[in-house]
Amino acid sequence: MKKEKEKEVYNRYREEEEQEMAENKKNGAATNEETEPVEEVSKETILENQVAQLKDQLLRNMAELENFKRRNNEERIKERKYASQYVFLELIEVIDSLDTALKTQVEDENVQKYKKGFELIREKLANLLSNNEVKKIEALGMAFDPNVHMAVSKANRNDLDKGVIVEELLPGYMYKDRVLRPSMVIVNEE
Amino acid sequence: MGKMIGIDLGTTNSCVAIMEGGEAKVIVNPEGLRTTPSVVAFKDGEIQVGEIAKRQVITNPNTVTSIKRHMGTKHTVKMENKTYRPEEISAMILKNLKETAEKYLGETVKEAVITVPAYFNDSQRQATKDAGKIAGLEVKRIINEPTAAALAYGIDKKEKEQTVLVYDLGGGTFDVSILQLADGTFEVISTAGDNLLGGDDFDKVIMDYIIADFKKQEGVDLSKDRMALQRVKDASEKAKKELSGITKADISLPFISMKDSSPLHLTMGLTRAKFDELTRHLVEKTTVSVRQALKDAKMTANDIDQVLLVGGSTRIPAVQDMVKRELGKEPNRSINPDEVVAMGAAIQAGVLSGDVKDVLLLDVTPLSLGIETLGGVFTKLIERNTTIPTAKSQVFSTAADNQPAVDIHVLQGERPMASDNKTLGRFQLSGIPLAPRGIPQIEVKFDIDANGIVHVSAKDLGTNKSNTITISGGSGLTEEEIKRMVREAEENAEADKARKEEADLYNECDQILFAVKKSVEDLGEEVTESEKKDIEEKSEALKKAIESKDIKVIKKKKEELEKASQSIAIKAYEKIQKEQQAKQQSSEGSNGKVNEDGTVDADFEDIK
Repeated sequence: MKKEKEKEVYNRYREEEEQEMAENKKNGAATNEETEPVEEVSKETILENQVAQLKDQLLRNMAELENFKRRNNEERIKERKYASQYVFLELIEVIDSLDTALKTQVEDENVQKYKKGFELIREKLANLLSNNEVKKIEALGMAFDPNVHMAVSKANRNDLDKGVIVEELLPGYMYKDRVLRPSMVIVNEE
Repeated sequence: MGKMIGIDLGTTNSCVAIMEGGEAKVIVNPEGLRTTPSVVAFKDGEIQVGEIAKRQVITNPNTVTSIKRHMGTKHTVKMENKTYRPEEISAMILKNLKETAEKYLGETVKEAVITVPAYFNDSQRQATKDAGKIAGLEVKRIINEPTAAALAYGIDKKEKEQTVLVYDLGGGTFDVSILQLADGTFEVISTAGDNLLGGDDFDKVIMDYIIADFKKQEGVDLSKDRMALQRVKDASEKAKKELSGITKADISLPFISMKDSSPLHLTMGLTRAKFDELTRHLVEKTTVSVRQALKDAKMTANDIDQVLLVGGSTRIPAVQDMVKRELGKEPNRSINPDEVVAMGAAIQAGVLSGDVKDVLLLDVTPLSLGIETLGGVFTKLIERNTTIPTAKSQVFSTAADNQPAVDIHVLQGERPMASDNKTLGRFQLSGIPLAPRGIPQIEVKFDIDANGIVHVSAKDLGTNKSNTITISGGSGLTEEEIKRMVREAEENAEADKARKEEADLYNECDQILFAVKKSVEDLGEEVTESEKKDIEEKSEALKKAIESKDIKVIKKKKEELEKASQSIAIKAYEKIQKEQQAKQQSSEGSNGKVNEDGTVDADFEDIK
């Protein structure tokens, strides 16, 4: 029963389309007749009309080409600006791992020295990023801003203001004026 | 007259496209993405759409997702003390897409074609139309999503009647539709699907598997650690995407957790076979729907002429395999499945606004065109696949002193050596005034008109004397021959490259021998006997080497001659400078016959 009703709907839409197509066809036929050399219309008039039509079409095509060139150019400039975006996106994933590693507490003096070395490597990476306009997004303790932060979960902390970020699960980064990856954060509700 | 846009208003993501230069083009949003989440958020009276809205779904109760599921119903949402109908929320998404298009086009957009699922009823379609109106768009046509996909694949251009099955596995919904194309109209025969099945389900399966495996191996439950969970989630999605291209994804999350104050690392190889096994139940669910759609249409797999894949999750190989197995046909998947519906909508928009109809079908040259130059090298003037009509010219010169004529050998093909390509014609330009080699400037021009007829002309820029040839019927090559020639060029690329290098080497040798001889003659007394002798000996050695055809020896002798002639080259250069100064001092000199830059151009080498 339900199926039949649905079918009816399709058919109605189909009819609507068919009607439209039939109309189009009629119009198409009408224009065809017009262009056919009827005795009353002089050859000159036909040719004049044709020239006008072609001229108009040419101008339109030329305008479209100009617009296309302009848009293409703008897009190329944009693409060049953000060309390294995907490389940096993958690089920050590697840096995530390094950052979690560096959070580990170590007691052994020898291991501490190693850790210090890795911290220096991390600093080099930080410089590389900032030289390329990749900047870490501030998150912890800030007011949640969906322009740059992504809320993954919410918390209920009375001691903190509403809408404040209580934890940063994954740091976010900006690349020039674009969000490379938003900070993944937990936001305080109340 | 503004452009009409095509919009795929999806449950989870939406996409906007336009016709540009006769092709559908997806427009990138300000965040640099080609699709925009269908999410709307309200914050202190401000309305946010897309990525920004999606980021606050969890914390902001005034966020609406998947509003499409409520289109055409009495359902309302209350946001910041104001009640909205589904079409109003959808209008906000449409407005955002409209603005994306306007920003790209640099002009206002007033008209659109919007797609809806094939199963949408009248009121759902009307609500979509109203949403467009609220967004300031005149909705010229509402078309079915599977129909849009069929348009993007050009199914409507096929001559005979077609039955098409569209398999659409998106972010959060799954639809199968069977369409029949007759007289240019698509009729929906049957639809089936699952409203709550999509790509996210596949991610979830991987995530659960990783967590369970890690617990088994290390005894730590990562689902309890939110930071770890976030990293596992991202890694799962990444692994899923990787498995569409490779058969094994390496999941590596160092320092994922701690146990007994020592760090734990998650490393795991997920094979495609394992992934397929884990997600089999999801793929099977879609199989049931495919069978249901066939049954409702009273059809079997044999009745289906074309299968189209739509939605990002159809990139999963197991999904493609299932469709192929179930329907016994290779599915069409050459168009980006996330964008195919929007592209089809743009094509429909183009048809309605007359853009598509008016586009002239412009041909391209199937093979490159050019002439033979010194050493039997084929110099291309017009590259293959250049849209015609087109014209290009380049200036060449003579190879020998006092050469009275040049032969223009017109060829077609992709191989670097002239003898491997097809000759289209030959002609001669004679009556070139006596001059040292490299001095005459012969402009060769190729002009292909809209009918593919090639006119080649050669003109002596000194005397304006010219000659032309017209090659009609283009190439007279069949499609097969063209394909063969392109294929042969690819197959012989290595060997051809070597032959071309060899030809170039001979040309270079020829030039050096000529240049050195000329320098010695020009300098006369200024060259010492020993220098002269050294150069003559080395020139002879190079000539002999050329006769021997031993490439290694030729290269060596060429280098030796180059080294020996360096001192002369400096002298020659200084002399020219002095002469020029003298010329300037005597205020009026005859316009130099001296080849001023000291280089010499070989026959039909490019004078830049």
